[in-house]
Amino acid sequence: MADLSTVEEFVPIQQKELLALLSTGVREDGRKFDEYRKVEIQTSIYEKANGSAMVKIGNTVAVAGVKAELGEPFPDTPNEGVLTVSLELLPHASPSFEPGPPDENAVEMSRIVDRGLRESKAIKTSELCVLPGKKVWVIYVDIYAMDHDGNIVDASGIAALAALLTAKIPEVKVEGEDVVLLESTKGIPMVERPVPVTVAKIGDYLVVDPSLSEENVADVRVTMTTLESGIVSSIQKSGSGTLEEPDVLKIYDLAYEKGKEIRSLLAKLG
Amino acid sequence: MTVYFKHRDIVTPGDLLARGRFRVGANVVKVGEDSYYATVLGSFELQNGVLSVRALRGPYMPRKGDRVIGMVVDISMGSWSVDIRSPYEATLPAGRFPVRINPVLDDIRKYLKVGDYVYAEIAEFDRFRAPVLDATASREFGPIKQGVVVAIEPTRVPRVIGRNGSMIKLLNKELNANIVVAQNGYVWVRGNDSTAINRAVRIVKMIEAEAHTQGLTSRVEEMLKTLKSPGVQPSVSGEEGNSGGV
Amino acid sequence: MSESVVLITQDGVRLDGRRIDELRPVKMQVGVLKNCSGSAYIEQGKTKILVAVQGPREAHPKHIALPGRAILRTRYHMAPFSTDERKSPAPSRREVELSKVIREALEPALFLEEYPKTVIDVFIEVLQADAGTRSAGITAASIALAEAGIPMRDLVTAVAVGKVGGKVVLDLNEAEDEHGEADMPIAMMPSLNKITLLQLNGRLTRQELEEGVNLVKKGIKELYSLQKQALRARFSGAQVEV
Repeated sequence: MADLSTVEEFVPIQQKELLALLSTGVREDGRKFDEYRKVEIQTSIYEKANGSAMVKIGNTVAVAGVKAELGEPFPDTPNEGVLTVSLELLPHASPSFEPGPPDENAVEMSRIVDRGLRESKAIKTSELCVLPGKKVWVIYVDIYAMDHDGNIVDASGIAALAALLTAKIPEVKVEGEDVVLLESTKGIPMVERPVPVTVAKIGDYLVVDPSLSEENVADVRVTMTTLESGIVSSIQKSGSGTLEEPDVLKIYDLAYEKGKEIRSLLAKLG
Repeated sequence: MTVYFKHRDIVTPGDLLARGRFRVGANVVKVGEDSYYATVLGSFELQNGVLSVRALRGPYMPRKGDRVIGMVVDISMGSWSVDIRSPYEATLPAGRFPVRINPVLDDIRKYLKVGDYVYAEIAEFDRFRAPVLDATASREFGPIKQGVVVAIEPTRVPRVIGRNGSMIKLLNKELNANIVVAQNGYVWVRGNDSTAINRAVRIVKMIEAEAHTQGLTSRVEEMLKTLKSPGVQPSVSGEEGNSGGV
Repeated sequence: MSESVVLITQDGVRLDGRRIDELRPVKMQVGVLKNCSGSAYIEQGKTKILVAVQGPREAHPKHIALPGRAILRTRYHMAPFSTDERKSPAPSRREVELSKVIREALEPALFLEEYPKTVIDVFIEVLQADAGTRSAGITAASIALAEAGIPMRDLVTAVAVGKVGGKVVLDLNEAEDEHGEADMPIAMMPSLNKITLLQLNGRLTRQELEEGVNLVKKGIKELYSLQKQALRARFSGAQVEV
């Protein structure tokens, strides 16, 4: 490869070993390059939340809780509900995570998850309007990364989606200016299932769903959120490496393919 | 073998300089089998098969043996901290000062205080330790007590000195001056005659501003002539440096 | 997308009269500030950004220093007066994220190992925001770094493509960014043909993604040559304008 990085950049020993392994077509945990770890999804695990989910990707664990409150709409969108997504990297998850205000990594990851949901227009926010200009549903999605064994972004995004898909909010009755919450509930109006899939580039190799040790040596990670129709609704390159031009579509194809598999798991949630 | 630029053309990082078989000089990187790229903004040079780029700007990187001028920025018990216009602050230990000092009995401020310039040599520097200065090896070393210190771009120092010191020798001879050019881009014009100092500073700033251009030596000779003819004040282009009288 | 706004006509002319593959007017200049290692100013349409580079210099606090290379720090910040409504000067989450991705877009180009234990700061101040601020910030930052004399593999050049009125277009302005269907900023090292920043907000098909990457290269090529002109002009005093 005619690449500067091979000329003068020093390659960490760990990366050398991993690259040697990858050149034989195998990843350190035995997976194929395009193989996702086992994904487990549990929903409705916290009954005080309107919706909740725990997602495990191998040993990586993220939970998401959805809380819905009646609040004011933004002035520029008086007829639409509000979505707020945040991600916290719990100190439980990794010795490198510290309690306190989110650092740039946490901010970036939570914005990736947020964009995947928002830009795909997954939630029909117009149906969350209760009293135009006055009362709308504000949907808070709070995600906790609980155990970090690589690929927190996907785990968080899938957990957020699973929690939203299974969340229940009260039906309401509007009496003049008053809003009465009823006993009966309904789901959050979801029209898309945006699934983030992360691909890491290590040397020249693209591997899907990187483990922690792969993340540690990867030059670049790219998260693409795709929809059932094949539309990509958010992309984020992360890390100080570079991509070749053809990588973009290769990563898209991997993300779409794996997104389909994960979407079929979500379909089983009902 | 193809060369894409002429000698002294200005090139930018990422410019493909040449393809073929060349030797790699300063600020050039070889990519793949036969492609050579510039890594800094500078003037292109090809001499004896060596491709290089002379940087137009950039920080001073200390090298062992370099003669530098620095400004004292801090004083501790047995040493001075000296700003040598580099990313790395230098230390001048009291034991490497030209005069014998007993740091326990003597207040080293007597010899150099904050804000003073000092001329010394880089005795140690290996990128893992801060540079250590030594002011004992030459009689010229030590505190700068007279004349003027002018800052120029460190990257222009080689042009002001000239090949084998030719430029600086020319200036000193023609202006009857005593100019010291330190590797870190400080120029010390010694003496007490303000007219002579003024002339020397002007011409040094001209060389700095036009260091990357062709025909510099002849323009310097011309300017020397003009400067020596009485009553003429030639204008000097280029940026101003920080000059400090001492 | 708001139906009321026609962003692009049937024959491919945009609100500001540009064709789909046309950049906004661009002006850039290096060496605009005196008291820093390198600086650059860029105008791209109504977007106006000032970049300063400080360093390499000693890292403070000292414990952040790395033994084998310089640390690159970037700060992308929007001036309170840069937007229609005053923006709070406190860094937003968006600014925190952009500072990170901009750093990661510039880092691959720099030979940071030349300056162990030091820090290089890049300050990107958006004086007026009219879309494309992160990409214009990167374009300007890379020439400010070059002006500072920091060794680089290549310049970094960035521009966004987007989807507006169903068409993939180059270099969105604010109206297109706000009402369009997608915004995809991309940064590259043009000579080495490597992508250093890739983001997308919005909805694109696979084919539009491919089209976008191709279109972005056209814009990057044009901006790259302007960057080089601006750097050369630094030593002849002229300003680059198109």
